[in-house]
Amino acid sequence: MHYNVIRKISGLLLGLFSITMLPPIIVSSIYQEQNHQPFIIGFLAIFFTGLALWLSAKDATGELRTRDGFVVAVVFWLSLGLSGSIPFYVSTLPSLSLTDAIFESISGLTTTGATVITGLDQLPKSILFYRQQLQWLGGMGIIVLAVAILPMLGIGGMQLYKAETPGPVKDAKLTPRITETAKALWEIYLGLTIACTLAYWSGGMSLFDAITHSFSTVSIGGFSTHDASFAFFDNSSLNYICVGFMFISGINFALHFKAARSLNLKLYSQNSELKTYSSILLSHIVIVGLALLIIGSSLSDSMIFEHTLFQVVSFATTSGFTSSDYISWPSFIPVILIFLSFYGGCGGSTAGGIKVIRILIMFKQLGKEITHLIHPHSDMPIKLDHHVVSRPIINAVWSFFSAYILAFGVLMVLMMITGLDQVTAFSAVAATLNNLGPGLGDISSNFASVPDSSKWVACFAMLLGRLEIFTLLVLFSPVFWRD
Amino acid sequence: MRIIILGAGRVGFTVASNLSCENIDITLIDKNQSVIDAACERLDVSAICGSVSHPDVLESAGVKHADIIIAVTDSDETNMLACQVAHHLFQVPQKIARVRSRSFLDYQEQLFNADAIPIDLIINPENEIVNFIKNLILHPGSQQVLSFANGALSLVEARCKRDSDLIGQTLRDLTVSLQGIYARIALIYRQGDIIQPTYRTVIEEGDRLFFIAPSEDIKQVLSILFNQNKPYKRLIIAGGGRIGLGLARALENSLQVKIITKNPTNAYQLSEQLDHSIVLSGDATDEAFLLDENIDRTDVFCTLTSDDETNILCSMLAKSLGAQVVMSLVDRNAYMNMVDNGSIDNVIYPQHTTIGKILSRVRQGEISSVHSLLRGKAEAFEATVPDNGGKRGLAGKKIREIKLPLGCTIIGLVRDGKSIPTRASVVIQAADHMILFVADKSLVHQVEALFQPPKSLLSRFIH
Repeated sequence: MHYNVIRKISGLLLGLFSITMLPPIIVSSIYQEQNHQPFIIGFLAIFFTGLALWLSAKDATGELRTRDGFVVAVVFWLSLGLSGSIPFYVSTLPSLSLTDAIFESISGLTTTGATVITGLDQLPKSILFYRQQLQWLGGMGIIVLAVAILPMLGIGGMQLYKAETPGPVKDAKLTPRITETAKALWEIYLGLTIACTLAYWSGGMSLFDAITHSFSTVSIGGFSTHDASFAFFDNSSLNYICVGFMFISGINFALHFKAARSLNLKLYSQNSELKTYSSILLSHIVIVGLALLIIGSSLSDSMIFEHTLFQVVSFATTSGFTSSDYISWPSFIPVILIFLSFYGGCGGSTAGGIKVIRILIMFKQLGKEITHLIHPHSDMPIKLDHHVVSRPIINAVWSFFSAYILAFGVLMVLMMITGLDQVTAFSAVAATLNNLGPGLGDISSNFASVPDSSKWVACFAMLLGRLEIFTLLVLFSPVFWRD
Repeated sequence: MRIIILGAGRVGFTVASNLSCENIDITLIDKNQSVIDAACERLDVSAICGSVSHPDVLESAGVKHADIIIAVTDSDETNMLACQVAHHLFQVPQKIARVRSRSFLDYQEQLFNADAIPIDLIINPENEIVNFIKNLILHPGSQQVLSFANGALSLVEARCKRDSDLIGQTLRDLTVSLQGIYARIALIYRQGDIIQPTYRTVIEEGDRLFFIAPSEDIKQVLSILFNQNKPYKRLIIAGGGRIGLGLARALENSLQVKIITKNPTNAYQLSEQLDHSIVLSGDATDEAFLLDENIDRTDVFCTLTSDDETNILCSMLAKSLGAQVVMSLVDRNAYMNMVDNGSIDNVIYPQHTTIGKILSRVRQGEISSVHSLLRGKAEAFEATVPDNGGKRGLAGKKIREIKLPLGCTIIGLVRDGKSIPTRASVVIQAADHMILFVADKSLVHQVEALFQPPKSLLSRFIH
């Protein structure tokens, strides 16, 4: 382990993160809220911690190894989660306990979107902006951002990139240089955000709401500046815009990159992950829509389609925006929606959960096993888009799946130990592990009412989900620490 | 700049790792998945698994936007075909290929042109290594001999050994003892530091001296400074691969050459191709065998097998048995530090001899003959002064007026094929060949800019 290099890079990353405290100060002065203090304290604390770390190891040389990459990623997400909570903790409105502040900060950064704050509409704009910005930074990953703009990371940047980027196939670099790849991803991300802002703005949101909601839409976070989330706007065109951008953000960014570079939209229609993603969404829209039509709900028939579409896409992509009171829908529908969050988003996107590509590989493997029973001598590799999926990747997918199920079980029991009832515990784990946000039972609107201990479990679950289990789990294995 | 390297073998891998440090986008293609995985893990390049000459594979590697392709697979035929595909289907501007087989090289001019097989630069690493070792053997006492300006000037590295007379002398003393031969000590490498010497610098034990002198004077300089006036006579080569054979063939007419190979069939093949050398079939690590072959009276013992460990151990054994000078081919970076302590007189790093030729194509401006020094830390290269038609530029300036970044020095100047002393008052003319030394590779780009033909305002604006 290269503790020096790890310290140096962590210091750099913290320094970079401290800069993100500045935009809320600008927002605060634009709206004349006199709410600079929490962010100035946050900036100074994080900046000087980073500086101290960096200075303590500034002469460190040597490349980051694979195992150091894991440490940096985890240490960084942890310290980011903690230091991101400073403004929440310091500010008087909202006045949050330390637990709540950390929960809110981690929920933001991991793009979960679960909140402990009620009365969002009364909060200062700067705090609201800061919450949304946390989601935006966490969406594409602040480490990926660092790789893009800090060339001194060198080849170590790749180890970091791998530790943070979701999806089973991480080695597929889009450009020869890792820095360029990271830059390209952030450019697409930024482009989508700007497009989303403009669309919201023209759809009738205020500029502030447009910017902040585009942050949480493109990052698939789910924070809103209003307690009622999207239901606050009660505007069909905004709902459709939101659905569109959630759908786009749930697609693999590598695919966006390839399509943008070659100016070839055909790539989208040829991608099997995207096809599966779309058909999962479509089938669930049909199921939920029909169920609402047949069983009946408080919605008028014309609204059923719009809200079904919105809720299905929002849950599948693990955004967690709500446009209607889905909890009051026939009780199996919210459960379907929660299940949807497990397999809704594509790998390499900002979505959480197991990811479509893994599900697709697992189903193909299933089909292969069945074929194998019928033709015992068959030897057919699993193919994705005409390319053979190598055995190590298939193994990794299955072990990820089992680790996910295991983590889910353990976390759910933990949640129940901390005092939640079974439904709440189940949905709380799903909401946090999948970085979804809303749940069922006590947490259908927010996490304010659950005990502190449950919040800590939830924090752990959110980080576990964002770092795709293994990156975090690696640090708990004795093999990792054995030199 | 974008470069595609075909074949991630030793050469391909080394070239990729060297170039990827220079802000160049590299894509590696190889048909062996495990090599590709290793490249992904260790280098900041993109790597693709596939057949290197297939157009679809090349296309997926982005060959359409590539500036250079470098084909260095094992097979000459594949390399040539890949260049042809890249030229005709994708119009890649520069194509570099490794061609080793002599039968192709004999028809080089007819074969390798735009009409037949479009290859712009042929590299033959084995050949270059053979030349390199040949130079070492022909210049006793030197560590490396690099030539510039079509052989007019040579840069020679020599080590100051413990019993050398040079220790304690200043450079001024050396100049006096050279009796009017113009040779300049360009730099001294002392315990990991590069020292830019002045007249008052005192030479210490263990210094590595780099001096530059007209090629015809090199032998004389070496003999004056290092008392090496006796040319080598008896050479034993261990290892009958391409390099061993090439070296034996190059030297068998001027020296007594023995070549040892383990494999009897290989020995037979060697003896077919060599006329005056003695081909021995045996184990070069066998003490009795070496003593039988008079190892104690051998001038130079060269170990050139493909196995680093064998090379190193074999050389050490030969040295302990009394060989005067031992030389080893060492490929792996990890071993370099271990063997640099003097237990082996000359350690030859094949990587650095290959990379130079490719670097000269990668460099912008009028740069040629790039040589990597000190394991790639520093670089010496030759640059032609551009004709700028009287505008601002290098031509017309005195040497002392040229602003060079710190760590970069002009160590030689060649005008019309003749070496000119690099005094501060010399006025540079267009088409002069300047030899520069750069202590830190990151400075290369700044220096490059000096030698670029003047840009028009418009092109400057576009860039």
